[in-house]
Amino acid sequence: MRNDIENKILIPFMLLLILSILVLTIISIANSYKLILDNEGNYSRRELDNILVYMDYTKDEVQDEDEASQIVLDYLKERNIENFFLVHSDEYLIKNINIKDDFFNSQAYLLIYEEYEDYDWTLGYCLEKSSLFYEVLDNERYLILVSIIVMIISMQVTIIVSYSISKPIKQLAAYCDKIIDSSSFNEKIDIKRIDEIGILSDALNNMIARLEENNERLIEMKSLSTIGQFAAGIAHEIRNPLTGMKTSIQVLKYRLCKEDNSTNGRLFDGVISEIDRINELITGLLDFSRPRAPSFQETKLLNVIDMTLKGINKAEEGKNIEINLKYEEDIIIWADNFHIKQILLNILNNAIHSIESRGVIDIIIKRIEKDDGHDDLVEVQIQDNGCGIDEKNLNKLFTPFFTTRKKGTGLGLSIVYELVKINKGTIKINSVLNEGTQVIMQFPIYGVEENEEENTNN
Amino acid sequence: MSKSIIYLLHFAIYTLLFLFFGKGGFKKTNNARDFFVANNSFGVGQSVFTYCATWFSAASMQGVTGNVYAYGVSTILYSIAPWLFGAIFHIILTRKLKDYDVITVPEFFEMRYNSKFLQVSGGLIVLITYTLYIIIQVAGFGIVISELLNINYFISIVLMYLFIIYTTFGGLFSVARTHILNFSLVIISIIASAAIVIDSIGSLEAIFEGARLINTRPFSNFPYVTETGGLLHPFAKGQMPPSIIFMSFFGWGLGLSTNPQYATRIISTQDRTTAKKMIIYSLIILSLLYFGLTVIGLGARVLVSSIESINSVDEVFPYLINNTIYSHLSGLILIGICAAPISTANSQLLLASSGFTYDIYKNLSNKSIDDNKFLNINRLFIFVVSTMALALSIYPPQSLLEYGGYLWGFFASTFLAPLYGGLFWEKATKQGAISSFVAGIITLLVFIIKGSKYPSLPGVIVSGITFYLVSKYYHGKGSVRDEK
Repeated sequence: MRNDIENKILIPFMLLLILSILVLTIISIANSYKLILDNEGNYSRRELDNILVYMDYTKDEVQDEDEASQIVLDYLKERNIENFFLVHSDEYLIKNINIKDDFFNSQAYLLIYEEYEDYDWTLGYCLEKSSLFYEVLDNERYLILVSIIVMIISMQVTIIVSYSISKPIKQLAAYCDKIIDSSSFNEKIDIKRIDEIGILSDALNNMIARLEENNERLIEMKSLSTIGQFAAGIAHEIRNPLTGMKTSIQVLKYRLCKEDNSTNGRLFDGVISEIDRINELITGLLDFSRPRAPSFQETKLLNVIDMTLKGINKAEEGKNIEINLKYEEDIIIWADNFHIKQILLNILNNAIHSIESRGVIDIIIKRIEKDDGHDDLVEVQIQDNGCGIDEKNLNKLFTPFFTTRKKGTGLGLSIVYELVKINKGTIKINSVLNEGTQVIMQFPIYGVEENEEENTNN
Repeated sequence: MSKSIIYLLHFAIYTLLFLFFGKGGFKKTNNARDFFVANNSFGVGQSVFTYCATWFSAASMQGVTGNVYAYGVSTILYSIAPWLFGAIFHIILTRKLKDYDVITVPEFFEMRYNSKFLQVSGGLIVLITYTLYIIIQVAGFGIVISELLNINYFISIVLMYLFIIYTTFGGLFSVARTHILNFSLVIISIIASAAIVIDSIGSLEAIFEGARLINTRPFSNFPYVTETGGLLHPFAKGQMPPSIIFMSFFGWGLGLSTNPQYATRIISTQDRTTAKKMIIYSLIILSLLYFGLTVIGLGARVLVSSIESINSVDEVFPYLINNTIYSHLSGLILIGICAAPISTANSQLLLASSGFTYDIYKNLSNKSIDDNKFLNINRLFIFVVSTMALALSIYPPQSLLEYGGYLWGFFASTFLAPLYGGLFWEKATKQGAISSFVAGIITLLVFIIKGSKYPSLPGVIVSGITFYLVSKYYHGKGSVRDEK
């Protein structure tokens, strides 16, 4: 017999049921048996008492003892009373019983008797107890039948219940096997239940969906990483001749274009600009593929922001952009100074690009209090009211080479992500299309022991 | 202890065994093929048990014994021989039917003739015929059990109802497992009864010698007084003339040869060889059991030449074990008598369900229904049909009991020509099959209404001729055979 759920539910349940039914039946039969035994005893007692009264009466009425006893004997014989006996000097005068002679000493009989000394008679009733028991059993047939019916119904119900539990579990197992065999997360298990199995199946579906998402991301990252390494390898090879080309073109321009506004001069400028763009891309690629290990130090955030703001061209293409810096105190963080500058530069450049002509960029710095009261993190929020990002693109922002700008390299935010990560920070981007974008970063504060310890160890 | 209590205790033990054997099918069943044909997985042993248990109904157990008691050995020619003759067709059916890999016989019609109409009509015949037959079985069981256990008739039919629902819910896997128990009990019951009868009379020779001398009326309302020697006469000295025996070959024999409950057994085997072995071994076992029943019937007549307290042949066997040969084994023999109709009725309930759900509902409405949903519909349908059969069994319609014997004639008149013709005659056409089906059933109904005692004969003949002529006509016209 297999040790499956059906048997685990069915066998104990049925054993309990059968046991209950048996106990119930035995109790019922025992009670009925006791009742019928008492009834028969009382009835026999009453009958016997009546006979004794009659005997006394006859004895009083009829003077002759032999005549009186004969009248009683005739009367009793005429009545032919069931289970009655009358013994005189070890001889049966009446024997309406079909039992062994030694019933006086046997527990198997219900015996009610009296000795009538005047006549030297022993008279009474004797019943075989087993016949009463069978009578009880016969009367309990419907109890046995109801027990049979209850057993069948219970068994059927138990089978259905255990089946309804084990079936979806088997389905879930088959589903998992299928995923293992096909290595595909495309299929969903369809179990519509509101109980724990339904919860399990929903959880499994969610887990598979997340696995599928992460798997895709992993594959993408893996391929991008390969591409990045490949591109970085090539970038090295390209950068040197590119520098030579730029120098040569600048020399050529100097020699051939005496006038600043000549057509050739503009063409040379165009070529130099494109070479710069290629250079920028190569720098990005190199930063992304092999970022320099951070040199953790005390970094005054306001200083870095100030330096960064000086370095950016907010008047780019004639835009009118207002940059507001909001802070309560100058916070020193434990990070790489240059990395933080690079991070801020990339994010601010993106914010400026997102603003079409007029706009506001807010830089907010605040301490983050933890639940335990310690404030070991600083949060830097950079939010703009630019064009925002489409929701569908939000999860691709840190993917290398993903860009929505015509002239973008798609490496800016990838580099930001990598730099934040190696400086033990976190980054999150919220954005609403046509409303603006908010970049939230958190970094460890200088002066919190765990931060320095952790980062130094790392 | 009273006899009825002894029987009841035996019955309680049987119930426990039945419940144990019947469990397990539910969890093994995943789709229609599992449910109806046990995923074609049966080996020889399992197949023989389920084939024989399906075959061995109350008509065999009580009917044959009672008829032998009343008519003598002519019963062999009247019913046993036609049945065995019909079963020989199953051997012929085996190879071709397995090739089609169908689940039901009406599905074969759809595959062979490309006719949804035939599948639906076939499903309807299966549904109606088996539902009516289940009512007869439930009512028959109820009468015997209520008398022997001394319980209310309604309670006894409820017991039968619960037994058949319990097994049928688990599909053929459950049904076939209980068949092992039931048929084992049938075998034990027959062997025990025959042994007690032979022991009571002395020997087999003494039984035949005694039977030869019987010249009484078997029971008070029986129309004939048995002539001396009539019990051993092949035609019961005129009570069973050759014409009746010939007719019964059409009713019983051809009905059995086309009865889908056996085709389903063939389909549920692993392969053709298993199916053939199943039929051959089953026929050997069944022949031996029928010999045992003949001995019991004849022996009963020798032991008590006339039974005043019974009214029909079906009551002879229960009377015998309860009175004439009452012993410690009577309870066990009684369980064998109960097991026979239960094992036939659960097979038929499963088939009635297939007729509706697979051949009608799924065929017409929804080919691609989800397996779980389909199985639930089946179980719901089984519940509805069996509850309906239970309700009708409380006061079984008199006409149903009267015409119950004709039910197999429906299969002979409708299924025979399209089934065997479709399998073995290349020129069989869809038009021929449909017209023979329709002509067969109309002829049968007309003859039943006219009061004919043997409506199967004209039904089979008209159906066969129509099938041949129409198929030949359409095939001659260049009708393309619609075989898939």
